Amino acid sequence: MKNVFLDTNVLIAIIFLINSHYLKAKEIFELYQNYYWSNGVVRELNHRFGEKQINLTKFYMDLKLFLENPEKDLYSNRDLLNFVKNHYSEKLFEDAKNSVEPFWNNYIGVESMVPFFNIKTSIDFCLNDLRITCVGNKQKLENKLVLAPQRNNDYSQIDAMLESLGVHEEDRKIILDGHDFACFSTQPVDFVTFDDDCFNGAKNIDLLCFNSVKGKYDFRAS
Amino acid sequence: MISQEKNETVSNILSDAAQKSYEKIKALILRIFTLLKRQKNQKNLKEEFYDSYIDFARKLKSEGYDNECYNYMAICEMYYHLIDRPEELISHEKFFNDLFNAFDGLLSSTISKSVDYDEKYDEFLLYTTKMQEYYYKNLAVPSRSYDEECCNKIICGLSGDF
Repeated sequence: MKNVFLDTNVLIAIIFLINSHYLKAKEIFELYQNYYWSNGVVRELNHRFGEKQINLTKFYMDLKLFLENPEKDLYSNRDLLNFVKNHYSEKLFEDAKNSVEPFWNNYIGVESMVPFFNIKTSIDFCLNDLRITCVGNKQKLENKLVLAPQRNNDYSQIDAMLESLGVHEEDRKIILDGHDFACFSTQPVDFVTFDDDCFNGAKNIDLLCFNSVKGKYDFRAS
Repeated sequence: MISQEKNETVSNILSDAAQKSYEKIKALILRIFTLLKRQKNQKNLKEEFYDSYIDFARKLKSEGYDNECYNYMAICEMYYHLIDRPEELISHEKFFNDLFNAFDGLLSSTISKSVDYDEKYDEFLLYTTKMQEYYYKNLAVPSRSYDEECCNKIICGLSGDF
């Protein structure tokens, strides 16, 4: 039996089709038999899900309004990336930027330049999906994942080591939740995260009980 | 949310141009409901509705009401998609009237302090979010072209994974 404890970013990646790590997340959900998360991951997922859905909705609505008065007839995905660069910052910038290529691949196709009205139609489909499919995916995910028992140990020594490696507090809590679960599990448990700092932290600490720590570069799809 | 300058003086948050655009879309919504009930062709009005709501959304955004704009677009998108399913639209007349009235209430509020507006906006957001959840769980369907072009790739692929 292959067991895995998942970080929030893997779950976000499988929920949102227009996500640069979607295919990698899909591969993970074909690889293991049992999937685990903790209350900390549930909380973070609920927060990030809402935030990402709002950010992507804002971006595609802005783009829709922009294309109502287009500056030219044909647009490429580079034009969309420029739009993102010119309009957004911080998390909204990141979410919008990461969605452009998957949006183009899934809703537009292989053409490098397409008429603006085709993009508008694709945006309508995408906005519809953001509300129907993503919510449905989240519900399916919630039914599939098994909640790990609440952690009682603070593992202060490991926590300090993770901090010294530059892992953020929220990520440290999730690593320790997974570690605690893996320590008491009768079966080997892998830990998967798409966050580089979280991956490097978990990978470089021998005290952790994980069978294996995997990051985004361990999965083939891009 | 609302700027301090507007906050001190306004009894209505819109400029005259935006107000005019808003009145147009409100009249159009009523007209579409009336025509649908009389089983008259609403095809031209559907496009007019789209153009009018986009025009108003752009005005809202240009006046700095970004969040209001996104919410209004979300309401109008639901309405726009149901115009092609007149029976369902008519049976959900109250649903849309309540939503449009909630937005109307937000815009026509007399505002003396920005915190009042923020509270009113939060109430509106909570309400519209619940209404949207209902719509996308019970009424929304992927478009035909979406089904043909993307169904296997997106819906089946995703559903099958879990």
